[in-house]
Amino acid sequence: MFNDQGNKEGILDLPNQTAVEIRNLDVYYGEENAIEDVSLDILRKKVTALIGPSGCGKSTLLRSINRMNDLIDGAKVEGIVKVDGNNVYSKGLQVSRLRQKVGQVFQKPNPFPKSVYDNVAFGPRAYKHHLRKEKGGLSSLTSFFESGEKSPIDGRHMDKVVKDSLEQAALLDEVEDKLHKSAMDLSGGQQQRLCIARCLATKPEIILMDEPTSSLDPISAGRIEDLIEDLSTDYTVLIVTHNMQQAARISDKTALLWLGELVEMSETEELFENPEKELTEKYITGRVG
Amino acid sequence: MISAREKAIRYIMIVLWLVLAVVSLLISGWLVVEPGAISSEAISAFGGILLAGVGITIIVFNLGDNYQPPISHFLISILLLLLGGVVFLFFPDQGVALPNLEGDITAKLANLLLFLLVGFAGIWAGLLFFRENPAQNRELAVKYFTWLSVLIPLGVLVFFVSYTIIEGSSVINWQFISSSTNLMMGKVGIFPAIMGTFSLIIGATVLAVPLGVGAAVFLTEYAKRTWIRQAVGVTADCLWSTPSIVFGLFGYVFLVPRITGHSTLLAGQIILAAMLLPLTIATSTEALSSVPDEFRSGSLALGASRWWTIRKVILPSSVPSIITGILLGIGRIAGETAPIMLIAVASNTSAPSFLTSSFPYFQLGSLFREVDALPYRMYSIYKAGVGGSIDEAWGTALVLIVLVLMFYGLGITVRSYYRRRRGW
Ligand SMILES: Nc1ncnc2c1ncn2[C@@H]1O[C@H](COP(=O)(O)OP(=O)(O)OP(=O)(O)O)[C@@H](O)[C@H]1O
Ligand SMILES: [Mg+2]
Repeated sequence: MFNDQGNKEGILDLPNQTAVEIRNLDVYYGEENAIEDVSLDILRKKVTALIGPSGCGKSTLLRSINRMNDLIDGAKVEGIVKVDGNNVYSKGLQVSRLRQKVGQVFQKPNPFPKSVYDNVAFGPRAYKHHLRKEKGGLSSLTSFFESGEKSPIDGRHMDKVVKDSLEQAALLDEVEDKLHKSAMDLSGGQQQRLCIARCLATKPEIILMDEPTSSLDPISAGRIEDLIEDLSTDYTVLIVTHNMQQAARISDKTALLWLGELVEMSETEELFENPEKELTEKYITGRVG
Repeated sequence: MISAREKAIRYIMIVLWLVLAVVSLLISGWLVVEPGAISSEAISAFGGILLAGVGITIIVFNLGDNYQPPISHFLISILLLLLGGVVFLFFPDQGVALPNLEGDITAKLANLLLFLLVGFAGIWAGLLFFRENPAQNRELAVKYFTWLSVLIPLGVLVFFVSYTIIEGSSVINWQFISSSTNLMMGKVGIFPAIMGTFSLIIGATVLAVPLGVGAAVFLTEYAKRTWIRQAVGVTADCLWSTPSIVFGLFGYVFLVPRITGHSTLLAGQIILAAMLLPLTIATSTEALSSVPDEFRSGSLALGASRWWTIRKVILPSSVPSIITGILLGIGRIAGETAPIMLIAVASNTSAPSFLTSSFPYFQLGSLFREVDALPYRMYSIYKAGVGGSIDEAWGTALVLIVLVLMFYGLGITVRSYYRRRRGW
């Protein structure tokens, strides 16, 4: 996917249904070993929930997939993380391509201090700009935006990308008449859906969500949960949550992390109904953690 | 509850003290404007009234049984008023002599300060009688005090500006601002000085701002180690507080010989830019580092490069604060005389001009010539009587203030444009 042959169709043809493959991952912050020898697979177009007590390394694991750990001073990653079969820590990889394919939604809604439209258009515009600087130039843009009809440089095409993304994020109806107003004036829940729309606009395949509902009221949180379920038909979603009901409601697979180690990962129903490990049972029934 | 009688007494006390306070503040203001306007007898009389007021207050304070103001506040304000009353009544001529512009010794600095002090103490004493609840009194006092602390600097500003307008406006006319001085014809005009100052400011800004903002971007976004940031911060602060004449000296020794050997506009622009640079770096660094990290990670997580993030997210949202810093700096360099005196200015030069009537319509030759500048013009009029009378110095001051205000207006417009777009 990071070289130009890997378009979306090509990947779908692969028998391999794994979107992210993590092998023997270790993450260190200085001396501290935050992730210890974790191996797991994240399945394509499924919702995978990551649960575990505070400080067990959920966010760290998430960030090691789109290399956001690179931004943290002293963070060191060892092991293999493969997205669509490409090791994201290999030398030649273009981080911006990776991050455009692996979107992230943060715990606190963080729209830019720009208009709603500019927020959603931000990713595609950045991508367009970066592509122009590359060898392949603009021709590869069409393969990037699958619609392929028009170059996204065309203003109308950008309008379509923005509207589609907002629609997908179930926000279009609410913001249609304030597309050019500041995104900071939206409610918290709307801001979070805007951040999801912003992430969808770069046409990602995988969406990482780090406690996306924890700063929202129950109704807004419910809308985001519905949205995640809808998204799972087209996207691979990895969501960190502290809320076990939420994990049970929306995820297909659930993984429990404990002190940086993977305790158990299985079908969500399986994990909540007959957990294999004693620790899992204790954790989900609230007797530890 | 308090009786109607006590309420009435209390209101009388409030009015008494507020009136005395206002009178006292007015006197102090008057002494600033016109030293010696108030005779010793008048000051003595005011002292007597003040002492009477203190006496009444002490009596009233002992009468009221339901209402007792906080004793410490009462004592401090009364002691201050007592002090003022005694000094005014018995020693109206004491204090440090303050010469006015003509050289007569008329005003007493100590009196002036004491009137100010008595004004505050009077307001304080009045407030003590305001409410039954001491906590409410304190709230009120704080409220009025903060109001005063806004009003006083504002008052000083209004005083300066209006005095300059009054003194300067008489000489301002179109000829004064649009032509140059011609002593033979008895004409005084400051057009070359206006253009000179304008060119100095523009040149210094054009040189300093990109460099300063660039340095700030490097420091906040790329330099990982905080000690580099701290070192640059300290250096910038030191440079900013370096006396401007030192900059002038450096320019004279290192810059002038390397450009043309004599004073040039370019040398002035460079030295003023060097003075502007530290403030630009400091305020820009501050502005950039106050942009929340969530914006950075949000942008990078979308696949944007670092540079794109800086250009599209971080710089736009810090533009308002950066501009504020630059404005402060421009306000300072616009009025600098000392550094440019050695390296850039000369009286009665013609205005620098960069536009020509023939191709390429632009010429840089003026950069290598001397210019006149408004603050220097004021200095030479005042000091050497060159190029006009004291009225013309005031007129020049007025033009300088207006010029600086124009830059402020421009900056504030740009700032509010970005602020409206920012909305956080
Ligand atoms: N930026 C950082 N610098 C140093 N140590 C960090 C950093 N971020 C996390 N850690 C450490 O790594 C460990 C795992 O942190 P992480 O944020 O991944 O936990 P988490 O499971 O997401 O917790 P929470 O549920 O509270 O968000 C913690 O012990 C934490 O102290
Ligand atoms: Mg976390």
